[in-house]
Parts: sequence; structure tokens; C-alpha cells
Amino acid sequence: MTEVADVIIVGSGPAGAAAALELCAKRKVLMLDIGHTAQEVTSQTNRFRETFGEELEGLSHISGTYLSPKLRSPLFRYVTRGWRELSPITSTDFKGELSLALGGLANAWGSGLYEFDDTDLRGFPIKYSDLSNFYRRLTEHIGISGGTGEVARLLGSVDKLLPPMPLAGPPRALYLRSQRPRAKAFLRRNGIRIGKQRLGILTESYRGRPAYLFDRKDFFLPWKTSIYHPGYTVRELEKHGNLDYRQGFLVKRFEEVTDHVVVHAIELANGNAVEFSARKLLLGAGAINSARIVLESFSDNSSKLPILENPVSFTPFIHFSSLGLKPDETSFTGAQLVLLYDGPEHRDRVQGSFYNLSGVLPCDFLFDFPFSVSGNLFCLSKILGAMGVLQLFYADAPHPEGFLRRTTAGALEVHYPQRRVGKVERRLIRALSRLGFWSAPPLIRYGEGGGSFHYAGTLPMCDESEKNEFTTDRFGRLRCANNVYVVDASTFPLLPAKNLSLTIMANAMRIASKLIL
Amino acid sequence: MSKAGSASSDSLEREIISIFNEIFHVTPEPDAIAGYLRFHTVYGPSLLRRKYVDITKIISKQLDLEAIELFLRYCYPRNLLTCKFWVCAYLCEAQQGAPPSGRSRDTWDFVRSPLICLVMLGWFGVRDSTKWIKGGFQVYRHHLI
Ligand SMILES: Cc1cc2nc3c(=O)[nH]c(=O)nc-3n(C[C@H](O)[C@H](O)[C@H](O)COP(=O)(O)OP(=O)(O)OC[C@H]3O[C@@H](n4cnc5c(N)ncnc54)[C@H](O)[C@@H]3O)c2cc1C
Repeated sequence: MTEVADVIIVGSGPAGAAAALELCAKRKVLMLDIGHTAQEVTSQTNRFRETFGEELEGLSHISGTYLSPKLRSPLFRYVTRGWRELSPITSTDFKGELSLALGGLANAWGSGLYEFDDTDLRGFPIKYSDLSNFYRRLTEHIGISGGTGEVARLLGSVDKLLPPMPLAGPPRALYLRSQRPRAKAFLRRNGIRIGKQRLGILTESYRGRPAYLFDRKDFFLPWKTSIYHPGYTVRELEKHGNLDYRQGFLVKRFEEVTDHVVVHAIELANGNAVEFSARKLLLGAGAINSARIVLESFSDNSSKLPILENPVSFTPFIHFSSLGLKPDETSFTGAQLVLLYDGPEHRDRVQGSFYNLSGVLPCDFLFDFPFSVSGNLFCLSKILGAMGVLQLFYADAPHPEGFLRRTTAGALEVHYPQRRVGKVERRLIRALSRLGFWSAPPLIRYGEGGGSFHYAGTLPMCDESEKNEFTTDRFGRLRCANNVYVVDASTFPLLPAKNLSLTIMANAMRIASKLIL
Repeated sequence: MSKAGSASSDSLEREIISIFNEIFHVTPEPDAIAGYLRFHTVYGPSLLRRKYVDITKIISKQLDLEAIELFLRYCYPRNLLTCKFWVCAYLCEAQQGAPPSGRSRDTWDFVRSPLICLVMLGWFGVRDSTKWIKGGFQVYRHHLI
């Protein structure tokens, strides 16, 4: 029997949750999700198991399979669990990760939440004014902390922000140095601005959630309630009775029948095929999985859809004056500073986050130093505390080597070769050395294709003139369908360097608010 | 089949005890030993793809584990011994802290200023150059790879 609803949303990540937040005020919404959660593993107490996992999955990188420290941490494994089997990708050059969890990839995110301004939205068929109201509502809903200075204003409106995260360790030293008038002028001449982060993390208790606790367990304990993730929104809407959240359903495809959409899914508990029907379908399964559902629905094995992601690099810096000092036990383990580069080395704005390394296990870096193991252990205890890592994101635009397509076997073939960047890093290394932070070009590491986890652009929003069937109009409506809308970053025609998720959410709310039911 | 995968649990236990004692100067707890054995069960196949090193011989002849590892890491970055050192370092970290604390043991408490830190790095530079030569010598003399 087919279940009938007004609106079906697929996915509970930032996109799906934000669309539901907007729609649930007016309508009853059915949300279909696979929805893995953390609860099933949190009862572990043994410290070896807690650190490395039952099957030592936290040590998988030693065997050669790289996964970010947070995603391989045992209690975070649910975030990426099962996607290779349930939504397979064949690829040789795409090293990304997908999530089938309640809250999506945001379960492991760094919580850097920024607004796109009109410069970032260049090439989009919408403007900042189309999103500003939704940004404001999200800021209130989530509880975003951040600075209020000049750099903060480049990251979005500073109204209603909670106080910024206190700085500690090398990021604090960098911030203080960068604010001296002469240093500020020097940085400005080099196109560099440094400011405090804007984070979806509570620095004071807010809407029933407690303030952030500095226990350095962010990489090991998921669902810390001071760190926002969309699962809270889903649970909140569910509690108020407006959202019918259905976990354990893998959406395969949809078909349009007269004035409604039939969604075909598999109930994972028993493998049964089930059908749901609604007047409107909103796809928020993430840029890759939403594209998969669309291609599957049209049995299209020939179209190549574009894919965007932010090329990323990591540059470690050592702060000389902090060498040998004990690491600050209370420091925040995520990104404390934001760095913007707008200069001659790159045509688009480049944005980065500056981290200290307190969240990660020191031994992750054991062989990043050139000495014997004793020498390297010395470095871990005396140099690591003086180190920070600058993670830089670059903007992306469609390019011929980055594409996805459905294979005849029903899997998705994704191509995204590693893109080399590096000039900006060199400029930054030279500039930051003047502030007492040392690095060298051979230490720069470049993320592999897919490594930024910021996926977009598979079903881009565009004007009438550029339309083809696998594009969306400015209201997120899929051009090859009448009642199917895309609410995730699939619709972004370009990807600026700024982290995208707050804009995914604001855009999902905008699209949901325009639905005529 | 390479010899890397065929180590018995007895010889693995001897390995972890030697590495812990010689490199980290602590005795492994039963949980750390169990973790080490488990690592070999779970990741055994991937260890076979690494450059084989005769660790049993290194231990029985009481050669300089640290020097040999340093030499091999530079000549064969994907060698078995470096991989085992890394596993032991993680297990030692978990054993020593109240994980997941992310703290590393501080046996160099006297180093509290950038200057002493740089002097120590210089000292490690000199010490490790001689270790590297010693390691290379032992590798070829005892046919360890
Ligand atoms: C380590 C890490 C750090 C990050 N840091 C940041 C950051 O600081 N700032 C930032 O802005 N972004 C960050 N991101 C990126 C951010 O998490 C993603 O941009 C965001 O989660 C994408 O949201 P989404 O809703 O489009 O998709 P996803 O988060 O991927 O959610 C997809 C949802 O769809 C469901 N789903 C998928 N396929 C199906 C199907 N076939 N049937 C049913 N349900 C399905 C999944 O279960 C999931 O609920 C980070 C990501 C990672 C991994």
C-alpha cells in the first residue's frame, strides 16, 4: 500500500533538516532517511576500544586507507557507515566520503557556518537578499558564536551572534600578533585578513542546550549537544508532532504520476520495496546521492553531470615562541581562526581555518617528523603544542574532468582528480613568518579529490537560457520534472571558497518557503 | 607467502614487549598486548604488502631496534617495522593517558623554553645521524630485509 503525504523530504542532513524547519510550520512533512545514529556504540568503556574501536578501525590509516582522524574515530564511524554498500561509487580518483546518518555529514563537521555574500553568489541566479532572512532565522535557531570585527562582517551578519570561542595556544598567538597595527597593515598589503571563527558551537547555554565544555573529546564523542547538528532540528520537529521522520529507508527513485510523485524505496530492516506518494518531493540526500536518485529515476546512463568540491590544502605552522611550552589543556579542538586571502596569487577569494592540534591523537603525527622514534616523541610533546594547521579551501567551477554518471550496473561513477594549488600557501608562508610562524613549502599537503567533503553543483540552478533537463530553476525545481525540488548543494552552479553548509540550509528554507501546495 | 603474516602470537607478544621496553620504556598492559595481536588479525593482509623485516632476528640478536627503524624508514618508507612501531606508539598512548585524552607522555620535563627545545632538536639531529649509520650497518650485516 502506498503512503500519502503533502511533502516528502529525502535526507536529514543540513539541507533536509532546514527544509523541514521551514515546511513544518505549515504542513505535515514525511522525511525518509537511512539515518544511522551514534547511540548504538556509545556504551563502550574500555579505553583501548574507545580510542581505536572494537576492530581497531581507528588504526585503519596505518594499513594505508586514509580517513580523517575524526571520521575514523570509533564512535564517529556511524557517520560514514554503509554508504559503500548502499550507495556505491566506482572511482579511481575520488577519495571522498558520504554519509547515511541522521544529520548527514554534519555529524562530523567543523561547524564553520558562514553566509555567502553577493561576491560568493556570483554565477548563482539568486542574491544575498534572497537568503538574508533565512540566514537570520538559522542564526537564531542554531546558536552561532563568532567575532564581530571587520573580518566577521565578511563572514555574514554579526547580529544575534553568541560571544566568540575563547582563543588558546598558537591560534591565540597568531590572532594577537595579527591585530597589531603594523602587522595588520602588512597583512592587508598581502591580501590577508585574520579574524575569529563563526561556529555553530554554543559559548553560552542556549535554547535548552548547554555551553561548550573544553574536554578535548570533540574527535571522540559525537552528539555533544553544544555543537549544533541537523539531527537536533529533526528530533525537535518530530517531538512537536509536525515531522514524521522515517529511519531505515533507502530511496531509490521517483516517478511522476499526474499531479503527484511516487517515491520508491527499500525498507532496510527487511529488504522490502515500499512506495510513498506526495504532492511535492524535496531531494536533500547530498549533492552526490540526490544526483544518483535523479539519474536512477530517468534510467539515464549517458548523461555526465558536473560535480564541484573545494580543493583543499593543509599547511602546518610552528610558532617559535611557543616551542617547549605545555599545550593549553583548555583549548578548543576545532578551528579557532579564519583567514581570508584576496590577492594576486589566485583569481578567487581563498578561505582558510587555523586549527591547533589538540583534538587529534599526538601519535597521528609520529612519522611527520624526521628523527628517530625517540626524537619524534620529543617533537610530539614539545613541538606539537606550538603547531597550528592552516586548512585552505579554494573555489571551484565546473571543469571537464570533474563529473559523475550512472553506470549500467546501477552504481555511480564519480571523477574528481586532485587539483594542485599552492601559490597562495607559499605567499602565506612568507607572510606569516613575519609574525613568528614558520613553515616550508615541502610541508604543504594537498587533499585528494573529494577530500574537502564539500560537494555541490550536480544539478545546478540556472536561467532559462542555459537550461538542460538535469538542471534546476531558481526555485530548485528539477527541469525534467514538475513536482520534484532539489534542496541540497546540488543546485549550486559554482562553489566559493567559503564553507557551504549554512548556505545549503538557507537555500533549502528559501526553496521550501516558495513551494505552492 | 611472505613471512610477515606468519608470526605466531608468542612471537608477536615478544615483539610488543621489546618495542615497548626499548622505545617507550614501559611494560605493555594485557589490553595493549591483546590490541597488538588483534591488529595483526585485522590488518594482516595489508602487512604482507609492506617491505618484510626480520623482527624476530632483531630481537633475538638484541640489535638496535630504533636505529634499524630509522634507517629503514628513509630507505623503505613502507616497511613492516615502522608500521609496527606506529601501532605500538598508539597502544602506548592509550595505555598511558586516560584516552581519548590526546595527550602525549612528557619525559622531557626540563625542556620549557624555545631555546632548550632547539638545542634538543640539534642533539637529536646529531644522535640520529649516528643511529642511521648504525641501523644501515646492522640491516646489511645481519640480512634483516
Ligand atoms: C569532517 C567534516 C568537516 C566538515 N566541516 C564543515 C564546516 O566546518 N562547515 C561547513 O559548512 N561544512 C562542513 N562540512 C560539510 C558538511 O557536512 C556538508 O556540506 C553537509 O553536511 C551537506 O549537507 P547535505 O544535507 O546536503 O548532505 P549530507 O550531510 O550528506 O546528508 C545527506 C542525508 O541524506 C540521507 N540520504 C542519502 N542518500 C539517501 C537515500 N538514497 N535514501 C534516503 N536517505 C538518503 C543521509 O542519510 C543523510 O541524512 C564538513 C564535513 C565533514 C565530513
